[in-house]
Amino acid sequence: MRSVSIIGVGSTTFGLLEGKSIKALASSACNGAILNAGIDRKQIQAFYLGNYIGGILVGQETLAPVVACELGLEKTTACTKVEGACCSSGIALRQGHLLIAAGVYDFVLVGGVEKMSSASTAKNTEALAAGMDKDMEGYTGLTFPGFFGLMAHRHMYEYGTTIEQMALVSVKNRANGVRNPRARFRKAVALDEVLGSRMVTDPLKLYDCCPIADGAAAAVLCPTEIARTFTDAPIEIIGSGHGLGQSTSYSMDGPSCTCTVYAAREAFRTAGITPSDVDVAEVHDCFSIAEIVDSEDLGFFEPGKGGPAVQEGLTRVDGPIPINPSGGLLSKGHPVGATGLGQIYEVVRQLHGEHENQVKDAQIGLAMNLGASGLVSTVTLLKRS
Amino acid sequence: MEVLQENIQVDKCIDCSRQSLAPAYVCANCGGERFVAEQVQGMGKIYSHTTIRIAPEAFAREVPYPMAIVELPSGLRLTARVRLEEGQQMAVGRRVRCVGLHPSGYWFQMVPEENGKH
Repeated sequence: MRSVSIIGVGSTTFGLLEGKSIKALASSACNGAILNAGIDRKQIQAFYLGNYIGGILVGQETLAPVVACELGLEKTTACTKVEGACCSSGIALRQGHLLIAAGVYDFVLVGGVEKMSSASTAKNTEALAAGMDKDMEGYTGLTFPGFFGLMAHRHMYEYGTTIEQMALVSVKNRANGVRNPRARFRKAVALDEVLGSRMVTDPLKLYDCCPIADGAAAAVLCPTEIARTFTDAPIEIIGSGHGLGQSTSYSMDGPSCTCTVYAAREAFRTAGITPSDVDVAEVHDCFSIAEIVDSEDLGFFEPGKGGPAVQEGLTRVDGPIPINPSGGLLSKGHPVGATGLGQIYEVVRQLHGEHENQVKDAQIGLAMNLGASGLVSTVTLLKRS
Repeated sequence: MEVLQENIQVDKCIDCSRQSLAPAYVCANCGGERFVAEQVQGMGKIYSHTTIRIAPEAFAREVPYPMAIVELPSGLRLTARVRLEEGQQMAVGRRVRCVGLHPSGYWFQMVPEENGKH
């Protein structure tokens, strides 16, 4: 297997981007990545575009070929839309990575996009719930926030995790988001504000939940051996994993997303490193409890220690394992199909030493993207070469 | 719409006897595709719980609605609605029993604890 590197990245801001269509968003981020890589777009051989609910919310399908035409890619380019709920673009990245690693392609464009703000909250909630197992659970009225409410109460029961510890995740991430120009929310929140916000799905309150957003992000990949032809600072993908969890909430194996455990194990094994080698991590904090669970599933902390770790400040930008210095989904917003590559964009900025919340001398970064009710997860390990 | 229902229907694999919630198509244990429907007693404990206050369009009129993952004695779990009496609160480990079947699935009620224990 060949080593693969990222030679260019692009991202829109995440937020309420009125007047921008799903095609406009994807085209902007993808073109940004192509220009950033300095590659002739005619060299791109394949394009994987992550998207989750574009069909339901804005009625646009066959999105990858549509965007490829707008970008002026060659007619020989293999274009594929990738869907894995909120993990769609994490998977798109891994498809591109593996096909270059396997020697099938040399140049691949990967992207992710979602357009959510034109639909109501109820319509978004319904569309997002399309990622549930319809036969077994979809008819019950459970939602993804509901799944994380179930996860939170079980985590509290098994480990004594507190409402305050969860709220502190939001406080930390919202504080980080203040400096990130790509974030939807750039206003810090105090602990009292999180605790006093209205209940959404017990025990999660409004400020424990990430907001919806419009947005897109993209990256251009090529073999590491020729990456320096395009950039002085290629970012090598040193490991990755893609795990399967459960399709229903009642199949949860303790308060954990086992898909992340498997994806992380594979990523660390292929990279030949351990969680303690990671300098900076962007993880899937769709809800405050999710970041705590992620931090345990990834192996940064023992099960049950994720809550106390937040309280002790271990995950702050200046802490031993900085988590979500971008502000995470809680600040940036969660344009579901774009989130995975949005995380990659943030980690690449960190490894280039250019981030608004720069972690000092970050060499190795991790991005972790989760889909549905703990159903699918990708973990990507990046290194400055 | 709702019918009284005290039992949970499960699909038992004819080849390996493993029980799955209905409907099962392929037995995840042995790959078998032949099942026999069985009824198991709808008594269990709350594994975890939440109350949905923002719902998909189809359920928007029902909010807020309590939900739980219920664990049956066999270890089989299901996602269900919970009907709470005035003043009742859900908690992990509390006993519940099935009282009905509805388009939204099984509905459970809390079983009063003995000796006044919460």
